[in-house]
Amino acid sequence: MMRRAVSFPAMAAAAAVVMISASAQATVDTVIQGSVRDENLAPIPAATVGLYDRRGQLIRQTTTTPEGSFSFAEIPFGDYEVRAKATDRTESKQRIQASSAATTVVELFCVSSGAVAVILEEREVAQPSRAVGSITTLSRETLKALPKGEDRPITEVVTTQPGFVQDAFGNVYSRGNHSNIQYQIDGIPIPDSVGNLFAQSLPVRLIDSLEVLTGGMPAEFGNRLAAVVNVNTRRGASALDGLFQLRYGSFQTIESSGYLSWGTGPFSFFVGGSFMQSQRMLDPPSITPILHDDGHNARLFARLDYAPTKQDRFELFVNYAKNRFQIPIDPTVVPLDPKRPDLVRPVDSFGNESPSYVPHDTDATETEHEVFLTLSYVHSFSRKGQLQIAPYYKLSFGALASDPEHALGALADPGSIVSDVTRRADHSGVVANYSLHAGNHVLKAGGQLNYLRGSTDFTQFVRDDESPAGGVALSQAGTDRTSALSGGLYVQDRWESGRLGLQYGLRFDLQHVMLIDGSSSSQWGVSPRLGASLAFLKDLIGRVFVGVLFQPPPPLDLGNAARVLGVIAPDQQVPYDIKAETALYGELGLTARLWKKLRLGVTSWGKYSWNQFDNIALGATNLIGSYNFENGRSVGVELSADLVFRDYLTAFCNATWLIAQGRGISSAKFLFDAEQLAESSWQTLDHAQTWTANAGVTVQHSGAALTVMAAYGSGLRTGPSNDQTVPQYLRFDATLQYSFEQLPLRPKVAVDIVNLLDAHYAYRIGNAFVGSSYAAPRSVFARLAIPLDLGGKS
Amino acid sequence: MRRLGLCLLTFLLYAAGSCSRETGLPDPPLRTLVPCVADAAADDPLACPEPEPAEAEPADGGMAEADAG
Repeated sequence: MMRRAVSFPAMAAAAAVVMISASAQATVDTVIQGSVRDENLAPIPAATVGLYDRRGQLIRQTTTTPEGSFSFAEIPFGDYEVRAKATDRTESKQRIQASSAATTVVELFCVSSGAVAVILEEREVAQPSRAVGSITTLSRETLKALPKGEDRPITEVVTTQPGFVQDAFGNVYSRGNHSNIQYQIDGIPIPDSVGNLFAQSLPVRLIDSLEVLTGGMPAEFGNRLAAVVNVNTRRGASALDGLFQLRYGSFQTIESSGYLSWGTGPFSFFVGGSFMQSQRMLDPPSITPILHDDGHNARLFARLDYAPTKQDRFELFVNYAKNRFQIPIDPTVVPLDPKRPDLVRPVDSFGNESPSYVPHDTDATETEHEVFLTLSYVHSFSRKGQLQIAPYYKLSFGALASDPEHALGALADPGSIVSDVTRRADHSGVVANYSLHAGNHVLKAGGQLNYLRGSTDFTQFVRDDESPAGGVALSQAGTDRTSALSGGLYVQDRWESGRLGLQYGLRFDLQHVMLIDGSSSSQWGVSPRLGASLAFLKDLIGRVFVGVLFQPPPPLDLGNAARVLGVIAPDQQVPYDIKAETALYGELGLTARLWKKLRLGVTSWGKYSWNQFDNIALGATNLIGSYNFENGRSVGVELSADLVFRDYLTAFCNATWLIAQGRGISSAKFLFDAEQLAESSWQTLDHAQTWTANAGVTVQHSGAALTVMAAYGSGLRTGPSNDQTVPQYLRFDATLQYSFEQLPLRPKVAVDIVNLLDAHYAYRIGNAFVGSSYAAPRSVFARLAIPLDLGGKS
Repeated sequence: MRRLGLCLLTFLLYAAGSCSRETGLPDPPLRTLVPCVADAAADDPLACPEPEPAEAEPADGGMAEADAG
């Protein structure tokens, strides 16, 4: 057979080209389309094209049209490989990362068997997305390379992205918003919790791929709009796959975890879990010593898939999380001296008054349970779209036990009050989504209906100041009941033509809250949203977005906060006057790719709000209370860079500057004093951090991977008037992982060093009942994992 | 392979030798009591206490009022 050399430069570059172009699609589904051509760039009809997951399992197969094109619709976002085969031609492969906010376009080349082609398959940074909003896709490989690997809480993962600020207890803030982050699992929005630890209960090992949207959300997203964390969970494959891991390290932290997955015929499953205990569960009010901070958590999750036909698919998803931890005690506070009433506690260097003294034998604890259960049914109408219907249930339970016997003991401050508060929220609801990919349009419509039944049982204890030994002088108990019916409807379209992409949609939200005394509160809002992207060049994309963001309030937080603090008499109902936030939001972005190795981005955004939400943290607990400012405003600029160098080095960095302010407290006024309520000027929010930066580099070679990450924060606000900042910090984390493929059981070993340079810094230096919280000093953890991937990849 | 092994060993040794600073003293430092200020405003944290306690305040983390923001 005669061999001939074929030179076609386009192929050399195109072999690794992944073009991410326009069109937002379903919440977790996307479209992958492309073409198959020969060495002369002529289309190849009737070529077989297969779509494989990252474990090499064939998911879909099709043949090219007479024009050589192909399309896969209704594919969950994530990592894939597309392979094309044609008679008497070589097979062509392409690895891609598909995002739900853009159609992924692939170009494949199958040369004739007699031809010789030189194809350079160099790794490239993904092409700039043509999505109209700010969206980042993180693959499973990226998540595994981070320090702490799959034990890293999801909140710590998203804080590496531009626009996010990290606070104590794993709280994260996006673009000047306080909390309000919407988590979605396989397209199903997760309702609010009674604590704020649910985000951390989503295990990274459950995640196949992750999207983070920080702005320019399509109309399909509602309820909590500071950011959307969109999780595509893992599913079982035909090859048995599993892992067992042990982690041990600082603060006597020990964690065992594992998962197992398998599939046969129409069935597949993925189950896993973990159990962790530590002597440092919450970020305590001191770096050292750490008093009363033990605890444990447990996670269990399972996903069962059943696909009886090519058009029908059922998914049962269950997630259970338990947290139990002690409430940390501040060791720097000393008791008052009854014999020296002229001595008082000093203010700190910022002017913050000292918190009260908590006797060191106090055993206050918090226990939380979260259960989320959903059954999702997806039916494909072939070329007429796809319908998803998913009923769900979520239980959220939290019990704060204050140990009044000791908390109100002899050394406690006179007049002290503590409370036991048990919160429970039962959410029942249903989500329905319909999407249709037709021509240049991706249409989507749907809605969500959620019924919340919340209860708060509380007992308030008042110290017996007459007794030298203290104790409980008075206790009063009560119960709050709150129900809420909320729902949302939306319709949206993504249209693209040539270099231009448009996304437009309309959303309607309604919330009806019913209180125990028969009173009720109804609020509704309409949110039009419009965005556009323009490809100035193939590697230079601009985007613009404007829209209204309506967010109904969390119905339970305020009442819970009032009961924990004891600021409302037990025989009185907590006033419910919190309002929905309505914001006018806009952003501009520009992303460029240089030499296919470096991607640079800049995004500026601004927001003006009516009834802006804000939260307060309650002491050394992880509980929050919500209230409104009359108005809010925020503006920010984000810079980002991603680098890929050959096959062994990837790096990223980003920096965020922002201002976020509010004025005029307009609800939950019982939490504040007259002076604070009288303040009507703009004040910077306590969760606003002016400068935040992150950087990371990963080097991989021969089964070893080294990752070093850096995080900088200019400091959250502190001081009696929130006009100062805690000291800035710079923290480095590092991890080294290695797979011993030659040893029996092929163990994987990793060492994680958190806070490599032992920086001592505070997330919060609080006053009143906003407690102080310090970051962990240098901490070291070792991981040993035994894979069970019999034919698959973990 | 050998270089990688050495690198891993070095990293492990460093990690094993890494422990946080521990001086036995609280960090941040203890808030020892100070004399009250007689002419301070009533809402000043350094104000002298009233002879009779007037109002209760919660012990679980601090006072009954918060700072906005």
